[in-house]
Amino acid sequence: MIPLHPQAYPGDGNRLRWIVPAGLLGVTGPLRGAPAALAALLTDGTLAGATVEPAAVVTTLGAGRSWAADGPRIRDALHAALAEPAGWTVAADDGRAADATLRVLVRGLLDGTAGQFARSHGGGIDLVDVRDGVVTVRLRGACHGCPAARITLHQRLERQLRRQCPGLRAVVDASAGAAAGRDAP
Amino acid sequence: MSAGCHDGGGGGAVATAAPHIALVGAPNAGKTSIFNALTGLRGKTGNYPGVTVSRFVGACRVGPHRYVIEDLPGTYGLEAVSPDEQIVVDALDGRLEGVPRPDALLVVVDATSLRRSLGFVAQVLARRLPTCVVVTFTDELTSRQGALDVEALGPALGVPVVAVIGHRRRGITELGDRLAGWARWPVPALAPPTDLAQRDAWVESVLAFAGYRAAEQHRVTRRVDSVLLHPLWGTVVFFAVMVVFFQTLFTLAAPLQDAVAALFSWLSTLVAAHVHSRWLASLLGDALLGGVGGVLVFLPQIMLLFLLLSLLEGVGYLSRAAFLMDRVMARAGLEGRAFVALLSSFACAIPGIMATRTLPSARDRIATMMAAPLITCSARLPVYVLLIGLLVDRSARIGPFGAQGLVMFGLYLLGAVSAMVAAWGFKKLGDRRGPLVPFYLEMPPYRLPSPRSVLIAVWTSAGSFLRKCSTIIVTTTIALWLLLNLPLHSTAQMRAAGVDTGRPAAVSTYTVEHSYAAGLGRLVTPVFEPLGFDWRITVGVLSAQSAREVFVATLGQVAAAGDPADPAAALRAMTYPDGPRAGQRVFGPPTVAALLVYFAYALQCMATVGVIRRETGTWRWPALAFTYLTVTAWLMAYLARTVVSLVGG
Repeated sequence: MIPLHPQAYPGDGNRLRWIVPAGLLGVTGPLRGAPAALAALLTDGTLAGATVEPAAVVTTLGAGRSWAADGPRIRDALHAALAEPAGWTVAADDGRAADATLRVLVRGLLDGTAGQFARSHGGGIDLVDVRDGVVTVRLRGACHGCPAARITLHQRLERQLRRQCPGLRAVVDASAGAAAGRDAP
Repeated sequence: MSAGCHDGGGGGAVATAAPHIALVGAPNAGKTSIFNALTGLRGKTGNYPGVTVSRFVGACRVGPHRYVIEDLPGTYGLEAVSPDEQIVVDALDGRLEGVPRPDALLVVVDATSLRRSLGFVAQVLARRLPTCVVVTFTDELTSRQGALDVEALGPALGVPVVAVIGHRRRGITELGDRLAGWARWPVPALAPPTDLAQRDAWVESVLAFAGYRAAEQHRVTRRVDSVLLHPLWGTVVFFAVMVVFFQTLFTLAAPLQDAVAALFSWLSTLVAAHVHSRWLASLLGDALLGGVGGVLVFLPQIMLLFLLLSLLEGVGYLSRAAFLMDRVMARAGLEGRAFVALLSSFACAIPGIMATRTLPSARDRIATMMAAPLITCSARLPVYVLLIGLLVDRSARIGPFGAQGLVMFGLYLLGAVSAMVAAWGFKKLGDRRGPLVPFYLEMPPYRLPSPRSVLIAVWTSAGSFLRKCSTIIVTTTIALWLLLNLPLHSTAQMRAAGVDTGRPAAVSTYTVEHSYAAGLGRLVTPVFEPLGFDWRITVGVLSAQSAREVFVATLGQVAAAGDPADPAAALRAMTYPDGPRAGQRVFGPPTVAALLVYFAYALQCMATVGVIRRETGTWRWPALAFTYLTVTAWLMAYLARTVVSLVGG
């Protein structure tokens, strides 16, 4: 069975991000066609839609559905569908979808653990821009000019981000005008 | 967090107002150190209603907030195969009377066995309660070349995750701060799967996301284990460890014991000098100082026993011993889990019998319960030490070892072997072979035990020994004192019987010889006559039926009546007053050997009888245990007396 677990989608309770092994499906973008088990849920309205990311599948609940009631069925369908990676087809992806995904994930992290850490040290991290897989942030407060900030960016933001988004190219600190983690793998 | 965690005392008001937070997790995951760190060691111990699983509840204060922390029994799962697990399941569902359903949960997981622990986390998250995962032993994971990104684990599980290194108190402050937001802890939108294959896939995925790399086998542990778990060397080391264990018990405790004894004899001289009422002086001097004091002398040894036991456990040796003994247990038809139960019986049979709840098979539980009272518990220790002192000289040596320690080791061995035989017998008596349930024995890496937890173990055991002394032993001792000093004899009566009333020793000897206790003892003596017990020993043996230590207290009283200045010498010099052995020493080798063996087998502990009743739900098993153990005790004591008489001439 393919390893699979759901994570909360930052800012949207109707969506879940199902983490799957990176590169398993080979394609990224809004889902167009899927193996029968998953396609059935899209047809009957359990799911309103799905998007394939490099290391995840994001599913959106249909109207009037709930994760508690319908989640187990959706999980069953995903397990069945992931066993046939060839059956997944997506709409053309111009790269902007990838950046949008990245943006959501960065927001999630800045609202969550990474941001909390910065705030607890009297600083803060703002998202400036996401373009072509490069995330630009600005450090403020105590973080600005702090020698440990580079480590924070690298450890807490970039590493967590790369876990979910293998397409991430770099995290850049706009305030320093230099890349914080270009040397990262 | 201000480190101000205090105990809730009775906790009635606290319990209703403060949120109820339960700690769940596998045994050895570090749950107890977290509980101690949060509640500041001031936890209250009690029992869950209807069963004897110990319940630990404590109050914790973080800044202005108060919490009631409940430490639930350690379990590997919530599928409820054993009674212990049933308690946890019932507690989480709020089905235990008097135990409120927890408002939030802290799941404690050991980072070095995270793969197994996450299966448990999945079951807990399915309960849909606000949950925070506490990861322990991350330091050990790292030192063994493992890896875990604790920050990624939180989003993967969908709940807050805090890393705590309990014995260093690292992360406790953060955990305390986390508690404040318990009502806002996110509950994952979708619970982890219940299907086993899907759950494995879930665990796998979460581990991968959190960059988990399993710890390598501890290098030192692996090397040491290659010797300690070796079928031959391991067994040799095991017996060597045990011999050293009992040697230490004698040599290290002796000076401390002498100090306690000196304190009590000083107190006796004070009583003799300052209390002029003969009755009060006798009550204080003979009953309390001679009796209870005689038992308290063994406090150093009890504490030392628990110190050594908790050191062996803390280092991780006890699980190795369990592993080695698993083979031996298999001969008796029992599994290694039963050994763990029998092992706790070395402290006291009661936790040992309660530990049988981890055994899923009812037949194994009964067989283990019937065997557990044979294991040498700490209550036998004072009796053994006293009797061995009468039997073997303190300076006698066999090779490099003190003879007293070796006799003690032999008695422990006798108890253990007899327990095995009993378990084997009861297993045979039972009906058909049940299904074989897999047995999980955790082999923790060798760790330096935290001084804190060792000290707590010693402190708790000393406390419960002192409680026993101040309640049951004091009561029985005073009752015996009354029996030994009544009826009253007038001076004229004594003169008529030819007693020199001018000598207090003669008076008290006469009083004791003609007391109700003597009458009772003489009535029962025919039963114990073949074992060489005179009426005084018989009274002692009967009184020990309430608790074994009372035997020491009884002999202490009888001896103190004979010679208050040197009770030990009085015991040694005691002779049979009448009968065919009149004039011979009472505590000669044959009688002492018979007594030792009698105490090794007899079920002289009403608390144990009560626990067997509660655990089996019927009087049948305690009645059977009591009968078979008492009969065996008498027969084996008779055998011991005969053998020692033949050998000793």
